[in-house]
Amino acid sequence: MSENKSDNINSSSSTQTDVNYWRSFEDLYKNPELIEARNHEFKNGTTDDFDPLQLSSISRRKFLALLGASAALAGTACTDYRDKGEIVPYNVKPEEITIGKPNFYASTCTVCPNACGILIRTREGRPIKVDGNPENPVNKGKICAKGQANILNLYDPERLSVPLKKNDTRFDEISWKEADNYIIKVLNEADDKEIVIITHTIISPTTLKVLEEFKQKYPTTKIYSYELFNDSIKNSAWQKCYGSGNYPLLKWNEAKVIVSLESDFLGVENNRIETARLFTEGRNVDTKKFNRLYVIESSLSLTGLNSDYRLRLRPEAQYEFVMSMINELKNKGAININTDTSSFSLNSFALKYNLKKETLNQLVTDLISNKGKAIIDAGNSLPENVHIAVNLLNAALGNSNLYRTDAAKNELLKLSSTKDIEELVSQMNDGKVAAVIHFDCNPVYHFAKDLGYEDALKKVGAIISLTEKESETSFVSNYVLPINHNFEAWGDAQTRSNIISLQQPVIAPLKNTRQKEAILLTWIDGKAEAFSEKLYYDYLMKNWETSIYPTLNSVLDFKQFWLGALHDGIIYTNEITNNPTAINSNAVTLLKNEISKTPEGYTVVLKESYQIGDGRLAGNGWLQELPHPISKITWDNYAAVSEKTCKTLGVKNNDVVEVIIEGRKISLPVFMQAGTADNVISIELGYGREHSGTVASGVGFNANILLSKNNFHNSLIYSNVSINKTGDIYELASSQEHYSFDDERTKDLAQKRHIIQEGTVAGYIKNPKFIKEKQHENLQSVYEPHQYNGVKWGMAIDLNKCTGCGDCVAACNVENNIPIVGKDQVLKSREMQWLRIDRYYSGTADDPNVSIQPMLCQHCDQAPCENVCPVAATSHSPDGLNQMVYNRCVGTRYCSNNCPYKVRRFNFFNFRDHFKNAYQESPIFALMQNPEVTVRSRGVMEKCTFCVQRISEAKAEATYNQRPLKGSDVTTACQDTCSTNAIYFGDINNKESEFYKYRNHELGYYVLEELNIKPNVTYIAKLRNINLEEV
Amino acid sequence: MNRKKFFTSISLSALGLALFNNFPINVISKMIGGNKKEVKVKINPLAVSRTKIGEKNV
Repeated sequence: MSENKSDNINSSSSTQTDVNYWRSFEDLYKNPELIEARNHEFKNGTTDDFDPLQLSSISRRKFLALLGASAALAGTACTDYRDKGEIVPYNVKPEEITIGKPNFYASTCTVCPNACGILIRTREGRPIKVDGNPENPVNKGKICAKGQANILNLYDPERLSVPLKKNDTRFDEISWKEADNYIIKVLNEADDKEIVIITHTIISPTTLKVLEEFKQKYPTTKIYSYELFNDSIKNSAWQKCYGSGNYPLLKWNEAKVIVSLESDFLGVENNRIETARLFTEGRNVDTKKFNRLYVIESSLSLTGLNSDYRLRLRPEAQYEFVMSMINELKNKGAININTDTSSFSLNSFALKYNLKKETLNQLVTDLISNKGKAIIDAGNSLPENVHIAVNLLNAALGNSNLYRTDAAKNELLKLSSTKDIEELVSQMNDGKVAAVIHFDCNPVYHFAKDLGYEDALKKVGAIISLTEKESETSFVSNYVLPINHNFEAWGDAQTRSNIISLQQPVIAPLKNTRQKEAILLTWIDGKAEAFSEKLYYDYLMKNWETSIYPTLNSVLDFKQFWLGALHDGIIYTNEITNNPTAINSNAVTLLKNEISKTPEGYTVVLKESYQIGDGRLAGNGWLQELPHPISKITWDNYAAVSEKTCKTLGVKNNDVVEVIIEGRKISLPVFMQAGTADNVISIELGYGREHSGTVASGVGFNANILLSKNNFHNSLIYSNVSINKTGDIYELASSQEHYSFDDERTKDLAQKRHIIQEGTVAGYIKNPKFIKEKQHENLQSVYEPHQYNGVKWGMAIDLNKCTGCGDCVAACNVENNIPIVGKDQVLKSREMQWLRIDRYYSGTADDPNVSIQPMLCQHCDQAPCENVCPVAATSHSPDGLNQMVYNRCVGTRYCSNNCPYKVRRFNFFNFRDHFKNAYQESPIFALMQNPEVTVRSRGVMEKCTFCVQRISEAKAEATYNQRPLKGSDVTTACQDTCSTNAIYFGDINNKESEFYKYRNHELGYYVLEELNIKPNVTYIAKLRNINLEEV
Repeated sequence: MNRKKFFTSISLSALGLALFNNFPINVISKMIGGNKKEVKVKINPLAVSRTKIGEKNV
């Protein structure tokens, strides 16, 4: 501001240029002090005390030197000082190992009583992947999700590592010697008191021999075996009809008509790997030969999901249904069963239970026209009279043609009955039991509470548990002895009459554990020093040499035979299976000609969990996170009820209800499940575990509390149940929702958008091009197409064969090091599985049609995700793969936003660190991870890679052998495990390959084809085998 | 600073950092986490392996 401006602001004659601007009154009145201050840089007094000689002696140079040294020190202190160990090559390389090359070991899976043959892939001496053994005629190279995920159990950091002794409320570590000495003393001092061994189903002939020797050494020993889900009712009914033997295996592949009565044969019953394969052999789009599946069930199961016709029916009405069918067939002159069925009428039955008469009439017609080529199968949980009626009906229709004679189920030790268990409990309460040995089982969790088993245990002197991990039973035991995992143990298994499979360890015990049979052998010997690592191996080999090898008439000497058997994993016996004898004509007297009263109130059906079985796999995070095949719920069980029942109860999804059966009660959330029969509640068991480790404890609701000793071990169906609304809410984590059936805007959207394209068998035969007619013409694109001169990878998925079981999802998890994220993240839709099985409903909520579609990265030729990445972290390979470069990715998530299939997964956290307080960061997990696949960390996008590590391995192999790479050289993890062979993978450019046929199938279509992004996964449209007149 | 003093101080710094890195920090970390036994991976020599999936012995 100029000081020469006009002085007087009030001058009436001042112009714009003459205006005097002033900032303060001092300025206005020209205060001399102010004028003087303007000549000095600092205010008075600011620099009065400034004395350069008083400042610090540290120069600028010294200050920077000090700063540098401090930073270096801080850097040293903050480095990761933990010793990561050393990477050194083998000093003495084991003969079997070639670094970088996998080895395979044939063995047997012992997760469930089916004992499938497996091939364990190992790298540098540690198992990393499990697949089926192709030589095993039962599972033929396939394995279920539980078998796949079993690898996680081997490396579980919470596996018990040393023997434990209970001291009041805590467990102290003890040595094996101390444990053995005490237990041998107890066994020797038992006198006439009973020694009890409780076990699951015995599948091993050698284990059975060990138990028999134990009984000889300790004569008061009694062995009890149990299985929460078993076929004892079916077998009992069979024996009443045929006099002897067990229910035979069935020729599912030769059946033209299959009727399932509450039988989930594709889901949880029997060996579903074998059954699914045989069933889908009868559904072939190439030969156009399709079987027809009728399912009559109370709640929607995996089998019901794959049905052609489905009827909802309360389980108590199944007997009336079968008898009504018998009556109808008798009236039509199709069968001749000498029993009075006049009380029953199919028409009345249909009216009473509001069933579609057309479907029932169609069923009757099909059974008559397919006599001798139909299977009627009753579920394991149905009462005996239903099974007897079904056996009689099958015999009358000539369906015994479909009973297999090449093999039969082998039962080494009959399961104990409820009466046996009750007697045991009574003996325990009377103090007549010296010791109870829990042989790798958990009866405190599994047994019905009103049996009083847990209370009776308190009266037993020595309670011993042989277990891999802590459990409800080990918690109440005096001695807890850790045993080897399946992959650390020797053994054998004979679940079929014509084959015996061997089990061999692929890794020496990781912890201080012992083989459970070897523990018993030590006690038989009577001295703790008798144990050695080879103890059971020698015993097994000796048993084979003396009992099994002589029956085989082998031309090899035993040593060679033994090595060959271990190599192959399986041997065939010369046992012949007899044809079933004619049905006992007196069996008809077991059928009653009276209709039971329809039960009032609700019915509860307790079922086996698809993911975790009877609860023994509840500690496996991969299985807990595997979406339920029907409801897509993870990490919990629930009460599945129909829409009408929900309205009656006044509840909706996530509302908590109290289920009461004869005073036994449980509160759990409701889930409205389409396709459930009215007034029926379906609950899966296996959840609500306690004292079971970080993953399992507190997950879900323990519905075992509803079991009754009256029904336990026989039937899991309870009538006259009452339900009360509690008013609480519990959120269930579902990986896939479903829109309202009533909303016109979203109803059948999957069909309208052609995401799901389906037809009927009759329609296909009439017009094979019905899918291709809907295909879009050559859509134009602005992008230059990629050139694929060599191999171009593609996939085809046959939706006729896909049952929606989810085994492929589990296999992908294991192969690709997918982390477990936990329930809270699943609630935010952040599950990390690269492959998902989409489930769509169409039709009505009561009787829906269900469509299944595995969805994975489509590896589009014109992928919308590739264009939008700002850092080029996702690119296209010369062989057609959509690649992901993890170390370029900065996490914008633009690619996921642009992906129309929503198959990209983002690591919002380092999930291994985030889940359950870094449970997966335990060092032992590093052994499990597949070294061929990058372990992704936070902030990085990932997706299906078409198992690029397997493609690279095949490429290297082909280059080494100096031959061109073929499409058939590579199989993806999901393809390897699919029991129905629904997934095909190969070279799109090879027109002579088997794969090419499916790639260009007349039923093949692409999802969201109209977007013109050219996906490379072809879906073969599903055909339903329904009556031509209904088409 | 003269040349001798410079190199002397650099060498002493490096020695100090090396000693500091190895002595107090490693000892303390072993004391805290030293009880955890390493898991050793050993093959059972009696098991029979194969190198290919579809390979049959007989």
